[in-house]
Amino acid sequence: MRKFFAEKVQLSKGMKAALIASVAFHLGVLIIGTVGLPYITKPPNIPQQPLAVEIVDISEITTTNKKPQKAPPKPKNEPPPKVEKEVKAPPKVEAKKPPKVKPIEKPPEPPKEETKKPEPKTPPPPSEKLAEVKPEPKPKKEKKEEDKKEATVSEEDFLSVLKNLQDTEPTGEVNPEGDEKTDPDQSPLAKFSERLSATEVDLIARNLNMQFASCWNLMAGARNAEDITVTINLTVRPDRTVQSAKIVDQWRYTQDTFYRAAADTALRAINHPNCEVLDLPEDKYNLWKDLTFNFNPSAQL
Amino acid sequence: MRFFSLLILILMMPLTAQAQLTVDITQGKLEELPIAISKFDNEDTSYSNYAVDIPAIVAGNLQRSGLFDPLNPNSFIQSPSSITVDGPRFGEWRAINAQALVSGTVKRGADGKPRVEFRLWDVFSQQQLVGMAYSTTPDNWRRIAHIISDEIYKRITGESGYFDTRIVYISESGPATNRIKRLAIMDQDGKNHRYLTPAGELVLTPRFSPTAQEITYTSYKGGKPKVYLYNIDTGRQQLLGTFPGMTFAPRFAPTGDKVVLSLSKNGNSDIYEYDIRSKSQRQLTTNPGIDTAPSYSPDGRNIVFESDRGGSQQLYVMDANGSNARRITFGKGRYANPVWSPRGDLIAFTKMLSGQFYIGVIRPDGSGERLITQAFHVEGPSWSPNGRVLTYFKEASTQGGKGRSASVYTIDLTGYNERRMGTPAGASDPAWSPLNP
Repeated sequence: MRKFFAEKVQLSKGMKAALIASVAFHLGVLIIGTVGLPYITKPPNIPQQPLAVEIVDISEITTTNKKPQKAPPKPKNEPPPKVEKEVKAPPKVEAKKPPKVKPIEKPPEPPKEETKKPEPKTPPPPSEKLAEVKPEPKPKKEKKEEDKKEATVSEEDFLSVLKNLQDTEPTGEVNPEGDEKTDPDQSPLAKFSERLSATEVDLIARNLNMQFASCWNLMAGARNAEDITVTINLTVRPDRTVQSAKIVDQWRYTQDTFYRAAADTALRAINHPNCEVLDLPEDKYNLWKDLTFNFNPSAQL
Repeated sequence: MRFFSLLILILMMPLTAQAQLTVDITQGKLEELPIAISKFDNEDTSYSNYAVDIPAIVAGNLQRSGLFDPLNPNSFIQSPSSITVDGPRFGEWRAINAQALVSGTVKRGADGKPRVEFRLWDVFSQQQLVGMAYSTTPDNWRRIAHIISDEIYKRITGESGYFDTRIVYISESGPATNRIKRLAIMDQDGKNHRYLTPAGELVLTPRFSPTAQEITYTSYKGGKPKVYLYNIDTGRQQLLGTFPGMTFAPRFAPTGDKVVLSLSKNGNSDIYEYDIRSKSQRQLTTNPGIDTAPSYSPDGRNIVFESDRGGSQQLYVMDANGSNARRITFGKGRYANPVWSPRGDLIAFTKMLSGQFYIGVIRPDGSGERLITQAFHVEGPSWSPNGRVLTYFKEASTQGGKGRSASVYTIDLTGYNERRMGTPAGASDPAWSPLNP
């Protein structure tokens, strides 16, 4: 009997602790549900924008990513045939023995963000010489506002880069998902817009797209180029220059030559002189000091 | 209490992560990559011409691809020897708007043969992208230039190159009423041109083997069209099979051991498969319509061909054993000469519509038809081994409409960068080789 009561008392203590924990947990959930979670860092600047004051053509902005329906641009490069004149007919036509190939070593380089491929064997002399080379410090990314203006492009540049002489016939080319992909409501930007106005987010996206249209060289004609999206995380300085750019999918960068080539075009775009100073609102550094760019050419291919 | 703190922290993490601004960059441009191709540093005067000629060939190859813009060497500040000793001074190359830099050295190897090294640099990231060294006999130096071009192309685009290749075609000369057609071959840049067959033999539709130095083609030797094999290394010609009728439009299987061709018998054309090793043949189509111009998919599982079985000349895809034929083109006009891309994603074809000829591409499922060039007469597309460039021929009228002149052209898959190839005489029916072994 005594033993029974002792167990009963012990059980009551355990239940009490559990009850307290349960009440505290539910209270916590209730409080979070009622007043919301606190921000660890500085809360984002949530602009209060009365709708009546907004003087922006929403429809124009929100369709900036849509694939234009106009005719493709005129061929930029259809030069006359250019072939060397001295076409000689040497007696030998047999396939010659291929030259011996030796990969040469990559010289040591300063640490970079991109993962490097394992290097082939190397002849020491050239690599030793090149190993002494110190990479030039990257030029300061100071850019004037005039340069920024040069980054803007005409609407013609937004058209498909693949030529098609037959626009009138149905070809099944139109990707029904194309518009969905660029629907602002479905994009990550839409989530962010919970703290930024949709117009502001659209404006940033539009400005950056306009800017990068003159910096990003598309891989038109490459296999499945339209299916490759390269995601790059950027750290941006207050002067809107890029401090660091890191390709998110490093594994694919080292394994997939097509992805690597596409990622390199994106990195070259970020390093392009016309895009050194990003077209971002200067007064909202906290909102864009960490940026993610998704380079996706599907709208143009 | 620690548990609750942790829980709250975990719940807050998505909010923190969500706060990062994400932007979809969807607009770009189609522009050649500015590339500086420096003269190579010459460490041995006996090969001094290579130090100039190899970079020049590389620049020509890359420029013709339409993807690169080799910069004028006169604008280069840093000398080749300085690059070798000090490494690239990227600031100087960036100042002339170069985004990539090619440097190299030519020297005499330990075996006395020329040894050529090259390095490709990314000017913005200041990294070496690729570096290779080659040695060969002096008379083979042009191939080194083509192989270097392929390496640069591959590293920048992600796709294998097509510069170390050859093109076989039909050389045409003489008046229209007495046309002389000969089999000829040349490097993809027009160099090393040579005739393979004599002038008195009418030949058509040469096709390269994807695996060997062999060509299959149609010859009217003996009066009737027959399909032959030609070994480039030995010069030996061989009649392909003993078919009871006229055979034409041959094309190799991806494995190189089989050929599909058309056999015309009793006014009907059907597609046959011929095994080169066992010399056995198999009929693949039995339709009363005209089935011709077969071409294998790169995996060998399907064959695309043209047929009028539906009332008009259209493209069909069937399984490699001849079953499950399905039509893939439904547009206006007539479709002919389908060729499956080596990378499998597209089929090139000739289209005739409203008195004009077109070269187009379409996906194997029949979607995405795109016409990329047009002329009074343009025909016979053939893919580069990387599936990025097409070669074909165009005919233009001459002498006030009395004569015709044919020329071989190349065009990028995008439909831009169309270029005419220089040949000693008229040229038609080009066929691109695989990469040289």
